[in-house]
Amino acid sequence: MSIAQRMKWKDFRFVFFDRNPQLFAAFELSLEELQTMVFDFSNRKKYDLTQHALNELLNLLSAYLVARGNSLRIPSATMVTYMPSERGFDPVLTRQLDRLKAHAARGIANADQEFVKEVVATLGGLSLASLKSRSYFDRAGENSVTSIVAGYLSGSIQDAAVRRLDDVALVGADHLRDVCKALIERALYSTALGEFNDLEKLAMVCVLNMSDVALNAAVRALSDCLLHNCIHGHSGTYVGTHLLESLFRITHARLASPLGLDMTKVSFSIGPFVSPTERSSFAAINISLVNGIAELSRSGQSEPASRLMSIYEELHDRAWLQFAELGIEAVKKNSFLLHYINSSIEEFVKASFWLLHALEDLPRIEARDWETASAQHRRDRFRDELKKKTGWETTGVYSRIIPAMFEYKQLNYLDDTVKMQCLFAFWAVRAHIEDVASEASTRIFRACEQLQDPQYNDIYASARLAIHIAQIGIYALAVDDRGIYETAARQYSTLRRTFRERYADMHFVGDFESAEGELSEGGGRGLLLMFDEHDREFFSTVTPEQIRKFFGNLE
Amino acid sequence: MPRLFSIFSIPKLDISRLALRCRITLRHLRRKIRQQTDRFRRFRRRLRRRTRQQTLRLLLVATVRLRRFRVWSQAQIVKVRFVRRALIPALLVLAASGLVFRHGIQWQRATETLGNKGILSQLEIAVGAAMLGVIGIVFSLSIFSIQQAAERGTTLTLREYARDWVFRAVYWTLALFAFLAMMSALQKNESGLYRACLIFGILAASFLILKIYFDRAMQFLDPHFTITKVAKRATKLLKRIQRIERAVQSEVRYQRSRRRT
Repeated sequence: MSIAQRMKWKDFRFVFFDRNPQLFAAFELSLEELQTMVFDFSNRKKYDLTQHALNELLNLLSAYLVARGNSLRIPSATMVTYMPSERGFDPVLTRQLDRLKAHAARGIANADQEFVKEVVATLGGLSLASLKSRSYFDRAGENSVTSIVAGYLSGSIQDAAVRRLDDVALVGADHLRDVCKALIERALYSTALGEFNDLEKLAMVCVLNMSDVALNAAVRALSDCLLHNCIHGHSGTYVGTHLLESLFRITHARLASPLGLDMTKVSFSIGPFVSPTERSSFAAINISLVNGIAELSRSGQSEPASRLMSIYEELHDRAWLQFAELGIEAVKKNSFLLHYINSSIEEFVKASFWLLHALEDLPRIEARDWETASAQHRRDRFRDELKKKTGWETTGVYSRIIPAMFEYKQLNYLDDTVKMQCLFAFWAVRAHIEDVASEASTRIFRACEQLQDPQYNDIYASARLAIHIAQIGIYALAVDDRGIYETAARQYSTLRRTFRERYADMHFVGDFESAEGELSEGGGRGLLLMFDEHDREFFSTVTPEQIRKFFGNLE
Repeated sequence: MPRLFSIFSIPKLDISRLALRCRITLRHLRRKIRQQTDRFRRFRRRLRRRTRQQTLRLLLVATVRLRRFRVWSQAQIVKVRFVRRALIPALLVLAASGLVFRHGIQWQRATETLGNKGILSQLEIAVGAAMLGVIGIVFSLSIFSIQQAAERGTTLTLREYARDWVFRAVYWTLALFAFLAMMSALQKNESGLYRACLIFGILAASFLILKIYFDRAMQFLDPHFTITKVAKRATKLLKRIQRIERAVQSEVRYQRSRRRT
């Protein structure tokens, strides 16, 4: 029996098409005619005709990809690396892609944005259509057909971005995002990682070109992919971590750019990732995840809840360290980015504490079988993990950022940062995570101690910020946490005593006496007037008697 | 009791009873007539109502069907332009055939007379020569439209223009008409009617063909048409490849099944 007789139909079909390229000669000739028309009409700037011809090309190539499904000669990434003899690519597809690439290159050279946008849209549509087809050399988690088409797409977009064709970069980022989303939905993670790299490259090109508009689009695309992965993806695929690392790398690069990151530039460049008001920012993704976990756990859907828990853990695995490093860099540059970092951290730490309470309020799952027992175990383990990660995201991050502020003498954002430590301490006291509250109080104490040093030129701040330690103590008193109360009272007394010893004759607005008086009177203010999260949390919990008791018990 | 009823037997009957009976019968008859009249009126009313309903229903159905037919026919006509172009000539041919059938004998005599006088042959030669002239005019017009297409489109538009089957068909049809007209002039005078019909048919068809030619040339001036044409051809070619693939698959299956058996 000959080999052809023993072959499976899939193999036979591949060999049949591979050895008879003349079958496609007439079809390719028609494609070539259309390509020539695109060339001619683009030279005359007849964009409606080029659009028509490109649309027809897109439809024909999509139909070709579908017709050649599972028989296309496009090697996988592994084959390209280890089996160079199998490096042949499907001639019809590659020739057509080369022609499209050439069109894009010509348009870029002529700065013809409209035409390049049309070509890029065609390549984007073809990338999406290629998802319906597979190569003969198929591999799990990878679609080499999409890889090659999207490679041409990203190449054209990057070339356009290098030549500062921002419109093309904006449209191209959207196309790449759509491809990435489709890849995540189909669980083709290996190919998706390559596309994320392309998006990152695009963002880096935009940083180098100092084009914040295009950078914003690229960052938004990556953030959208991160959100999409949280909704459709799975943990352990490295996609979430990879995206997060890319976003942090881009943020670092933008921070290092000579353009600087002032108040307006942050939101117009890397805003989609760091601004909590954006729909796919890190904080917004966390809030969505937290809501999802709580809702699914409440409705008893343990399997999807576990998936979200795993994704949450993966996202927060190294996020604290990356935020800390980014924060230190922002402090060094005295950038407004630190404000955004603080806001993001505040949002997702708040969400974490809320989730802790929500999980604790849930009734325990009765251990009827191994599935219910494992669901309860997963929930308990996740709660412990959540506590640990919250600790890192508060203590771990700010034990690096606040000392960096003193090291580089950049104290512009110290007030806000210290106030946020106070808020963290309130939440931690309420969630019975004493070490977080204690660490927060200690950080404020050390900051106030250092501020008493005249080299920082702000001795008033020491007294002004010390009241936050008193607030932590009063809050602990209100929720009956003796340990934190005693620590805070001791630290506050020490600060007050040392300040008075050093600057005995100094009186100013916000000194210890006036701050204490204001705090004692502040309890009488209506809650409606307190728009600040910190004030609302404090005055809704403590009573004037507890404030007076705290100050009365001091040494 | 007399065996037969006679006038003499009346007195023997009860007159008052008879009168009563007659009155009752009359009343009964009147009531019956009234009932019948009422029934007839009701029937007539019902019938009128039903007729009205049926008429309305039929009108509605007819309107809907007509609308559907119109939409369908429009869609068909738009989709298959050939039908639109063939319908009018077909009707004309039918009408002409009917006329020929109706007045065949008279026309036969008249055409034979014309043939004997040589007028018909002259007419046929004139029409054949006119066809050649039409071909010349078509070619002259083609050069103008080719120039226009070349300016608006690309070199490929010209190639598409050159290998368009409609243009080729127009040329060959006109050539055939010229040839037929000339050949017809050499036929016998007995078949004069057929010759006359052929000549007039050629004249009518040449008008139609010129219209088709004009429409096609106009389409080629729009480059979108050429793009769509090339794309359609490519789609057909791809489908042909798929058909080949299916044929190969069937062949492989057949060979394997035969080997198994």
